Amino acid sequence: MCRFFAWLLVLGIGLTGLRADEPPLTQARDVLALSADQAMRGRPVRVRGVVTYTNPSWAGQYFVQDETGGIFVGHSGNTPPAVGQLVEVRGKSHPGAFAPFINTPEWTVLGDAPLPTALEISMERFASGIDDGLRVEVSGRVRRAFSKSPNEWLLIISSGGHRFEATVTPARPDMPLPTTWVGSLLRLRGVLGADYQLHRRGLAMVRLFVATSDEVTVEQPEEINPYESALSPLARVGQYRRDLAPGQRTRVQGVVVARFGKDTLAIEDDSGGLIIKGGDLGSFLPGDPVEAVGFEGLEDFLPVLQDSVVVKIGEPRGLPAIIRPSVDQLLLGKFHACLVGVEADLIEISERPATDGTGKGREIIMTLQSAGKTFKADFADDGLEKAPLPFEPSSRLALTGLCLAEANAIGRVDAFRLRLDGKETVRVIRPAPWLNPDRLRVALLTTIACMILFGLWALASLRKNRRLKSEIRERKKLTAELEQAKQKLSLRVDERTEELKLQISARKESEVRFKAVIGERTRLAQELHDGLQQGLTGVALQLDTASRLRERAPDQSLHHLELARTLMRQTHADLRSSVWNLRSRSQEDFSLVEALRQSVGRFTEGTSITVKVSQTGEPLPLAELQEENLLRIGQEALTNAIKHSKSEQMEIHLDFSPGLLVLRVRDFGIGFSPAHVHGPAQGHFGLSGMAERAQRIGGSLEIHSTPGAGTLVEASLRIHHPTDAEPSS
Amino acid sequence: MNHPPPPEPAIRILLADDHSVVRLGLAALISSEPGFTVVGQASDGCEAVAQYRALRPDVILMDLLMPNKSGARAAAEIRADFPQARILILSTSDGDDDIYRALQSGALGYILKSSPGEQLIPAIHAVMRGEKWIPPEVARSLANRIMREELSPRELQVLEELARGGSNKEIASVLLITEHTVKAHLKSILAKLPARDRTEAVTVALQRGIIHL
Repeated sequence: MCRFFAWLLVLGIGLTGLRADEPPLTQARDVLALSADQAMRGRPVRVRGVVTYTNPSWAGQYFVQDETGGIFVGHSGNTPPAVGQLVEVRGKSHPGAFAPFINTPEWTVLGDAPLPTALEISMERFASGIDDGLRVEVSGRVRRAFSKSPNEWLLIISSGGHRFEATVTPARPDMPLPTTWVGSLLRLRGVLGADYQLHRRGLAMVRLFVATSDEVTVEQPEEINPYESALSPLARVGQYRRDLAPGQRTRVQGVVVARFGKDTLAIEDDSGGLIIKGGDLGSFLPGDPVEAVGFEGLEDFLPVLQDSVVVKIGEPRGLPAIIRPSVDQLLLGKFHACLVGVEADLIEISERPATDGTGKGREIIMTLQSAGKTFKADFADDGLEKAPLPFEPSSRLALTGLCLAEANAIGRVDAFRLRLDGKETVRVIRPAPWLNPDRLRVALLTTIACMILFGLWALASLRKNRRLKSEIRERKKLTAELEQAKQKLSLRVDERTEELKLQISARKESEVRFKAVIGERTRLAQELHDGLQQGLTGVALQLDTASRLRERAPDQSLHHLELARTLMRQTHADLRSSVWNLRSRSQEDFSLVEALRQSVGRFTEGTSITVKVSQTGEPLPLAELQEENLLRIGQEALTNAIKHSKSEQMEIHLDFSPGLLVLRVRDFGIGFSPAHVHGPAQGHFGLSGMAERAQRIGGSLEIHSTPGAGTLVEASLRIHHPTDAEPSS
Repeated sequence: MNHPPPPEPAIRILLADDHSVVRLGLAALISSEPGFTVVGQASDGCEAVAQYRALRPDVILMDLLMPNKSGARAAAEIRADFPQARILILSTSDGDDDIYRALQSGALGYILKSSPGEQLIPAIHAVMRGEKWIPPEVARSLANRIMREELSPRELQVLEELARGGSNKEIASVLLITEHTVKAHLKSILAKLPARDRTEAVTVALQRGIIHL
């Protein structure tokens, strides 16, 4: 009722702007006939009628009824007129929350009048709300009755499948609510008031406002006092019974096995279970033995004891033994509202926020399977959200809970659910195999991912292999090319080596030739210098002298001419020897002993003279000048021996001993006395020539001779390593 | 020595030549000239120096190419001790280097052995008067030298080795330089002498008296 007035308070003030010239609506019917828009305009109303109902808690509002209908009179702030007074109400139309009413009312009490006759209407019409504000008469069976306050009773009445509330004002303030009314069929007269849905200007529920309990009459009392009736086994509720009169209440007893909210219990006795609904059942706990009296009814095709009055009938005894029917039996609905134990495989768990309105905790819903049948179980988990549950899908569970059968659209029970008291009622019989669907999914995904990775890897490997193969092929090709190139190169190297060898040998040859040429030239130059040039100088000087002395001393002049001639001859011989030696020399394999031997051959050819040529020691290479001078000494000595010794036996010996070379030319002839030998002045140049040659090459010459004992010419020369031998001029 | 003693104080001459035939000829020619006397004969440089010290001749006729000590060195030694010594070089060489060195050593005159007869006596007279005696062909040869480039000591060494018939490699090992350096020296030598090849280089060097055998 509070919202009813609050709403009027809000709306009542704003509706102004009356049209003064507009004639007021004088009949309730006219006001009620206004559309919402019309009523909104605040049409002036002046209605004369009898007050049919008011309530001290209504802040001055009341119902008034004239000949054309009943209407509600809104908030005025004044004390309302009393029921039964005739009043003229002035005010403005208002669309109201359901039906139009008279707003901003002012009224004048005109006197008393009898209450209008209550219209007897069907329950169907009553429930439609069309007679809002009108006095009506209906009947119905009282399901529940409360005394809200000393001057207001509240009856919950069921009639023809409808249910409504009736507010009854006791006839006297101290009058008790008749206990026999519950279960009785009553006839009531009162004003129909609609409880509305504010925002859609629609009907929520119809009420009956009964002005005094005198207008309530018991049409048919309850046949049997239910508190004294026989106890009915729970299983019998809803069964065919001829002994139970319609509207007669049933008395049952059982142990509370579950409670839902504050208005529902499940109790169980030996015959079965039952759902009990009632006003205030919040204080009962599972295990409480109770007695309930209520009306048998059906909700969702299943029996419920409605509007029950429940009382505890002893100390808590604990829950009854848990029955363990098969799932098939459970599906038949036989164990509706019974505490049962079931074993089943957990298939899925879902959760949603708790619906109890506290906003805390969660509702866990499990989908289970047993013997090929699927069912659900649920419980409220007020523990911490997201706390892991001690079981997981695929595990086998033993559950204990209330079996609640569920009927299909045509009322046939074909399913059930288990309402559990909490997760403590669930026991894991067999843990979930490790490979549950989730893990399977993960494993599958992992496998797929692995396969994809492997595929990619394989693809990459394939490509890499292909690339490697092509690289290897390329490398092989390169290697082959390299090999070919190497062979070519090696060929070229060989060729080039040959060329170089040729070049080197050519160079060597040219070097050798250069050496030979230089050697020959220097030798020749030396020979010419020492022999020819000096000889010619000597000749020239002798000739000059001869020329100078020709006048003064002809004899001397002649002598000088003679010397010049001898010198000339000697020089000629020298020159010839040089030329011969030139011819006798071959370039590299020159050997002094061989050259001496050749000279011997030349000098002794056609004579009977024999010359033994020999060599001892290890021959060392000599500078060409040394060789040449030694050769010339040997030749000169040999020539002298052939000319003067008169011997036919001669020896030439070349002795190489370490550091010393000795050339000995020996004859076995007549010999001579060195003291008597003729010198250059006498035209004998041979001996001095030999000595000069020996001196020129850093050696020495000795001549040993005694008359009759032959002659030995000995040229000695210190020799060292070839490079140490210093030639001198 | 088969000469008559000089009747009057004559010009005293020392002969130094390693060739006896030349000494013989010189002695004959000089002896044929009145007022000249040969006081001694030496057959090498060392003897020449020793005899000079002993005999103190007015003039010494000296060959350039002699064993043991060259004429140029002997001349220099003599001039070092006796700055007034009159030295007359008698050589077969017309090489500019020989001439240059001879004159450098302090010789007053230079006679080629190819033309001794007509020059010897005038030359001796000339040096006796304290004059120089440079025949025109010698002067010409000397003049050429001015236009020629001097060889470095290293190049001289290379040239000497070359004259012994050494290959580049041999020269390099003797002189302790690389073959490459030898080649470089050789190139320079060929340019300076000038000569077309190594053989010519040796020939030219010998001819000019830059090196001796």
